[in-house]
Amino acid sequence: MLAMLKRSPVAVFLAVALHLLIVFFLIFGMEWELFPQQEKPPVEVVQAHAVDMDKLRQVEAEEKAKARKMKEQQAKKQKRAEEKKRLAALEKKRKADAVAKRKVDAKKKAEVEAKRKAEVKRKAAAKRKAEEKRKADAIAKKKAEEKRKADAKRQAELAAKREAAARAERERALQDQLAAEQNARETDRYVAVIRQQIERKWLRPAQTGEQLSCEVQVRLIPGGDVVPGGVSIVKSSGNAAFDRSVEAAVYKAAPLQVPSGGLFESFRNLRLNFKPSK
Amino acid sequence: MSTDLSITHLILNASIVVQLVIGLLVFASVMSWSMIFDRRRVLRRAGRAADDFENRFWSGGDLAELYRQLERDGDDESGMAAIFRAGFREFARLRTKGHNDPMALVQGAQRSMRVSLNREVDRLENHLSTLATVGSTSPYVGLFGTVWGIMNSFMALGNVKQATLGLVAPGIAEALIATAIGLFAAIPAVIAYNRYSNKVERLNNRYDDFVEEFATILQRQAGS
Repeated sequence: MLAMLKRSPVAVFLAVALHLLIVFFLIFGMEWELFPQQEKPPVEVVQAHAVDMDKLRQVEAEEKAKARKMKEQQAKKQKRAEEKKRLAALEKKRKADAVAKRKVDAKKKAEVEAKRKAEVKRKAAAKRKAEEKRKADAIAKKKAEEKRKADAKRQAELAAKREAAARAERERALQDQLAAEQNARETDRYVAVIRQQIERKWLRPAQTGEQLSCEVQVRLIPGGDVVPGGVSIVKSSGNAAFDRSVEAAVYKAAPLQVPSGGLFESFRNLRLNFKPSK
Repeated sequence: MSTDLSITHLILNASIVVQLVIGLLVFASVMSWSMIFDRRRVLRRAGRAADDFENRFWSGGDLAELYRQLERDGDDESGMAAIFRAGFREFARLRTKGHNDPMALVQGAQRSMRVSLNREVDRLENHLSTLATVGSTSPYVGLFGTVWGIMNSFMALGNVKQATLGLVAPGIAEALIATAIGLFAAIPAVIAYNRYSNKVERLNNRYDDFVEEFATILQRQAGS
């Protein structure tokens, strides 16, 4: 550093000046906010005294006691006045009660008379009602009987209908089964034909045992053509040459004879099992 | 707890170790900036001198005349002029001593030019390593100060029952100042180091090229 100072004092001076400048800005930049605050007039201060809380509490208690006493006196005065009022009211009430009692007696008599009349009327009404009820019951019974009969009839009809439907269903199922059987028979026939077709083209490799068997899956399109690459060995015989020969035979036999129409659907993915014994 | 968190206050209240670290870092920063200004001046001057000399050299005048002129100007020449003088002096000396093999003449001149070139480059590279050192170590020094300050602050925290943010924050803030100053010292130093070493490298290449060119010219003269 000293050597530096000797050799190029300008550089050292510049560096020191730079740092001083930075320090200056750091300090004054940080305290920039302080200046406006200092210039502001002091805020008004709320005047406050230190107060002994105990004394304050005592004074408060005394005041409270005084207030309570005054209240009590007032309450007493009020009570006396109320008592007087109550007595006067009682006297008035007694007089009124006597008048009311007389009135009530008269009313009771009238009520008894009215009750007797009402009793008579009620009895007559009850008799009439019973008569009417008996009649209505008879009518209802008759109606119910009729209804029951109609229901039974309807039920019988329904049962007959259901039976007929079931029979039709059974017949249809039978027919379906027959059709399916027919289809299966047809399919079997076609499968046999296809198998024959393939076996005719099949060049069995020499020296294959009788026990070999391999299952191929053939993908066909309507018309009987084999989809290119659509022949795959599902279950290998274990003899690669044998598998290959079967595959070649399938390709050679194309187009295979397949049924047209709905029956073809079961031939889209055809599985065939081959054994050399045949 | 003082609410005054200004930087001066924090630094003045920091622990001795942190203060030392900060002092060291400020010193390193001043030093690195001195070097930055110094290298800036030196490298700029060297570049300009190289430009001037190349102009004079390729203006087509007589080389002996140029040499004499340089001798007259004084011996504080540096850079390309110094290399030229070293090479030409050696060439002339060998020739006056009666060596006539052009190969030997040129090789001698070239060797002395190499020496001069190394000296020049060394002069340019002077102090650059210090810049690199400041750039690479001052963050660590600052980090050391920070770790120390935070350690102290947490130790103090362990002694009280109820820890508040106000208790820890000033300590950490004061500790972090050390890292800030470390980075402040390191960043310009690293930038300057990269920039100036690149400049020195380019000057070195120019000198090298000049040595080769001058050698071929000397070879031509020796052969004729």
